[in-house]
Amino acid sequence: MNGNEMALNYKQVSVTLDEDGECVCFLRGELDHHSVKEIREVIDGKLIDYRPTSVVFDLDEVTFTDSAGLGLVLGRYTRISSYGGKLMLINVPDDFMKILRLSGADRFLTIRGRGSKTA
Amino acid sequence: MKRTRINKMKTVFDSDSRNESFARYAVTAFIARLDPDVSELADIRTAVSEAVTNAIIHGYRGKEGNVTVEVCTYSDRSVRITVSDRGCGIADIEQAKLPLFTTDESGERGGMGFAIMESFSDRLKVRSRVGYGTVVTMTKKLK
Repeated sequence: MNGNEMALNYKQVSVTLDEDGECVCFLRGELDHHSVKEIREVIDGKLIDYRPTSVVFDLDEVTFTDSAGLGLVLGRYTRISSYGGKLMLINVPDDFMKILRLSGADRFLTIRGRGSKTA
Repeated sequence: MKRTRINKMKTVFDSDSRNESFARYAVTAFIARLDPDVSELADIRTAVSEAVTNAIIHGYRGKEGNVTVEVCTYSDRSVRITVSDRGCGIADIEQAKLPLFTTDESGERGGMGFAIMESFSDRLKVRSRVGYGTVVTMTKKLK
């Protein structure tokens, strides 16, 4: 994404799909009950249309999350798993990781990078 | 030594989901003078967000109403945050506080709201009366 696009049309999610069926969702900004609605619609649209077998959520630029972000991840996990796809979270910020741990979701989600590192 | 109140703020806003971020910013701006560290600030932001979201979606269930957020800071560096609504109230508070309990049938809400508020604060108190509303009080002592 170029700078102009970012400034003029700030989107909290951008999705890329490649020919091998891999889908990368790059999430940005604050994830709360208000903002996840639109993000969810965008991602679910792609899941329904393309049924990607491998989905990556890149959370590098997520600056805030509460249980709505957790719900976004778990809802997509259920959807993707239902057709046999895999979901992976990468670059998970520490505070997001804290919520994943509290819910126990870290035990079944595939998580790579940043907060996922264990000592 | 007895603790004394240093400062207090109160803000009232519409039960509109856009105000979830407003509430987080208002509270974090107010407590900034206590110079909380990054993780304390993150915990408070998240706990406030959960309480305000609960008031909007469970308290008022999409109807119009007011959400009130009050914050008090004390001389022992503790912060008390009260989030109240005059919505439908909670019939069984203990059940509502159980992790994974949710009245949402879309499967998009994890039922983790109270578990997060409880874990991200030192003390959580919930008072509620069906038909009258809910008051959530969270206390956290900063380092």
